[in-house]
Amino acid sequence: MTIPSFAAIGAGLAIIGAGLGIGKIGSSACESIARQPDVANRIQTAMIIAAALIEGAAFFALIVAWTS
Amino acid sequence: MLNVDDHNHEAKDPDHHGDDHAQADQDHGHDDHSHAEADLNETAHVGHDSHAESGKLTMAEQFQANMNKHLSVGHLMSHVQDSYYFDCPQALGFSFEDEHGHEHNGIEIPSITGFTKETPMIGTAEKPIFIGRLSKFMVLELVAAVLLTVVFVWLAKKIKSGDRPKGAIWNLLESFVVYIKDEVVKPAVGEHDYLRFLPFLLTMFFFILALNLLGMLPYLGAATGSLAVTAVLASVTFAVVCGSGIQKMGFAGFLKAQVPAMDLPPLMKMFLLPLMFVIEIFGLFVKHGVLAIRLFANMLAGHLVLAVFVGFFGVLAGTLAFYPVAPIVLLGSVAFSAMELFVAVLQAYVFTFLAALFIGSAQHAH
Amino acid sequence: MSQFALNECLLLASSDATANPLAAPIDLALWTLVVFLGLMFVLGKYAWKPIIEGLNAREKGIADNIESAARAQEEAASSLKAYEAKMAGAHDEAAALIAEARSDAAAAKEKLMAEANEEANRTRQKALADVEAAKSAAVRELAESSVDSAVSLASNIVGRSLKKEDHAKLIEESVKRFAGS
Repeated sequence: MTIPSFAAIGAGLAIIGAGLGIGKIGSSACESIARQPDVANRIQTAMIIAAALIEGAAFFALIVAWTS
Repeated sequence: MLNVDDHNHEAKDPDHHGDDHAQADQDHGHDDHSHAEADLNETAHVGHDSHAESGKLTMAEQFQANMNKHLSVGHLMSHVQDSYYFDCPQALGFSFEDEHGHEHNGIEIPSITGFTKETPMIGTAEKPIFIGRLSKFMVLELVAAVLLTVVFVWLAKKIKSGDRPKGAIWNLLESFVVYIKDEVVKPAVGEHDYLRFLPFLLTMFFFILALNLLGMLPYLGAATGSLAVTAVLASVTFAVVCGSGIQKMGFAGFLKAQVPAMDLPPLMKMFLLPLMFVIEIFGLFVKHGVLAIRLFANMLAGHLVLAVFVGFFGVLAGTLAFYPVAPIVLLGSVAFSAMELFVAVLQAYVFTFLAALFIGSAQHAH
Repeated sequence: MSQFALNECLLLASSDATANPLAAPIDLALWTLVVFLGLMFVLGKYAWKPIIEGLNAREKGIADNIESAARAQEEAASSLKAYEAKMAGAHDEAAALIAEARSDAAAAKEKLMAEANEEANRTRQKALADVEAAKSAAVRELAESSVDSAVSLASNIVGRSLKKEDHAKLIEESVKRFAGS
């Protein structure tokens, strides 16, 4: 097994984590909007911010995996 | 009837990714290819059992050869990264030889300054630092800038006239502008001074959107898929965030505002505050770094996937599997193009929205 | 990340198999900076400023229109109310006038009737009184003349005067007879 395949596994793990996290955010946001459609805008904003933060962490992991 | 060659399929190819290099690569591996053709011709006449003969490529070998041509990392990346030529359909007959002696189907961007990658303005051929020559993405940025100027100066004239909005284009553009103004910038930056940052954020949104959408046009490319472009856009955002924060609170005030106010015992405070300060300042850089990487990675990854999809045509070309699989690949690439279209708008929105949030948080104490 | 050197970043991506996805050529970066800042300047001056001004003016115009429309509606409502009040007043007045006229007419009628009745009564009474007076006068006259004639007749017949009682009795009887006839 060569080093790049370890990196690929790392990238996969990062994506699994980010996918779970963003999925959780999306599901809770949908539930909250369904429960309180009045504040849908603010929930959406919070959702995008949280998803963006997770996405950022995932990208860092991907770049580390890619460049190492 | 089974004589399927690259040439026909590449010409019919609906998208731009993965098509034009076929010819160049085909030239390199021409012998292999004629073998495959001969083999297929024979297959059509004689039947499948003739594969056992020596010196002929089996279907698996043909696949492998095609894979190496069309789905290699270098080939795929060459379609989504910056270059010094515009791809164009093979049928138009444009081709040129690059500095490595590779033949490309496309139109080379002339080097007005006379500098090339081999003879850069600053640096050496091995390590070029500043080349000083127009590249594809530079031309696309210029096109985007000119388009935006023409379109929005026209819109400004229309809105200034005081008429009510008429026509699809006017309504479309205005709804975008009003949405960014009222739904993105105003709540994120704050009602008090959002108007100061509106020109910057509007320019940012439409510039990114234009570059992303230009990337969806066949034979062009997404300039936002290059880290150089997104890093500059994020750096400008960083400069605006810090500049406006310092202007508002002073340099020391801006640094102090980065640390959230907390009620802590003095001893804990002495220990925790420097730590938090370092983390928050680091976070300030990371936030903007991620801003650049998010846009770049989304666009690059999306276009790579598109390139892979269309590269499948090249892989299938010359094999019997073309007929059953190609329609599926076609459908997949159409569906993924639609998805990319959505991502193009979404990423422009996300970049602008986060930039507005960062500016907003720099205006007020943490 | 450690192997990710800066000069690697500076390498322009080539079509070689070693294409670096993180390639960030300085050319492109500087060009992007210049194009973006130029675009921001040009659009800020010739597009965003008039667009935002125009949008704000339109927004203000619409708000003003709505406000003046609301004011006009308010005015219309209040004048409608005043008109309705006036109408209601006029109605009441008219009703009062009619009632008054009616009561006046009734009173006049009553008065007229009473006067007429009174007049009629009076006339009747007077007529009755006249009749009665005439009757009694006639009766008295007749009685007197008949007494006289009877006396003279009797005196003539009897030749001598009746006694006083007989005389009176005779008168009475004859009056009775006369009255009874």
